[in-house]
Amino acid sequence: MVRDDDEIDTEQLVLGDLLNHVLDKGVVISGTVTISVADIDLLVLDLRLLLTSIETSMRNGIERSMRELTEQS
Amino acid sequence: MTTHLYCILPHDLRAALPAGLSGLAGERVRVLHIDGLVAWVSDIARTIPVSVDGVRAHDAVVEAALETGTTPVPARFGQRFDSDDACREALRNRAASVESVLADVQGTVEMTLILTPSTRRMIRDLEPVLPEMFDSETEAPGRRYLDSLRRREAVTGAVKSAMDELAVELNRAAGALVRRATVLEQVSPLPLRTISHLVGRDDVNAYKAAVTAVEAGGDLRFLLIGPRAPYSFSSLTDAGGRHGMNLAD
Repeated sequence: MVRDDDEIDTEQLVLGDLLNHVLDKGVVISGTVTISVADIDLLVLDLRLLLTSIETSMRNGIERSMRELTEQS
Repeated sequence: MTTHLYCILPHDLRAALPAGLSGLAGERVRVLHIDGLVAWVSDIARTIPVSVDGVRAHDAVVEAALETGTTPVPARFGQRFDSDDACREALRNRAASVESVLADVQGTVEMTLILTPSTRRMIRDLEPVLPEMFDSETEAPGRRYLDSLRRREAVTGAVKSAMDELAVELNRAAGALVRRATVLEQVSPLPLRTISHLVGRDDVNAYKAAVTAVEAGGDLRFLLIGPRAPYSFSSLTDAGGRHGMNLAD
């Protein structure tokens, strides 16, 4: 199941799933989540945060690794 | 004011509307009778406020219906009609189909499994590829950038294969309790697979025990959401991959 360090993302996954079920208009295109209702595209920031948080984590991971490599050398 | 539809229930099971139940914009939820059907509705301004809070308010009404012990057919958010009579007419026009869906889902609930790699795995797997992807000098169409895309695809493919194996394990554990299933594969930077299962109300605890006993290997994880109303099994068009009943389009 889900580990503690995934809790933050879990909340956003649950929210994303709720929106997907209730709106049934979720479309993910190139990392941007848009939700269309009555043909009007609405940006759902909460879902974008999920993607952003992943991307930020990955960037931070790289920066941390590079910093560690620099310090080692 | 117009009429917002939350969900539909069979008339003969007489699910009681909880006293004081409110829906969108705090409006009181009320009951419309349409021949053999009952609709839970509320007044709503002509412009429906689309927001996370609005979606939650809609879902809360549907969940209240589910908690009566009768399984509702949930309407999608945004099912607005010009009047109660317009809502009644829309339901009368589709009564046979609506009653068929209601009959199919009675005694059941939806359980949802979301399969995804852990954040740690995504970081670890993609880390070697990302410097090239985020390096602006390589974003121009060039071999290195295309190579980085191919490598990312290879990583994503490996994750999907691992998710396939996990899905098989989950199905092996709980498949006997599943009456119907839908799978939604989301196209996103984060591989996500949503598996929706229609499960008998009496089987919910056994289902939960079965799936939670599954160990997700390969740094994958899965969330279990439910029981909830059968959003994934309420389409009138049977187009697949659609959620909630849609009458107002």
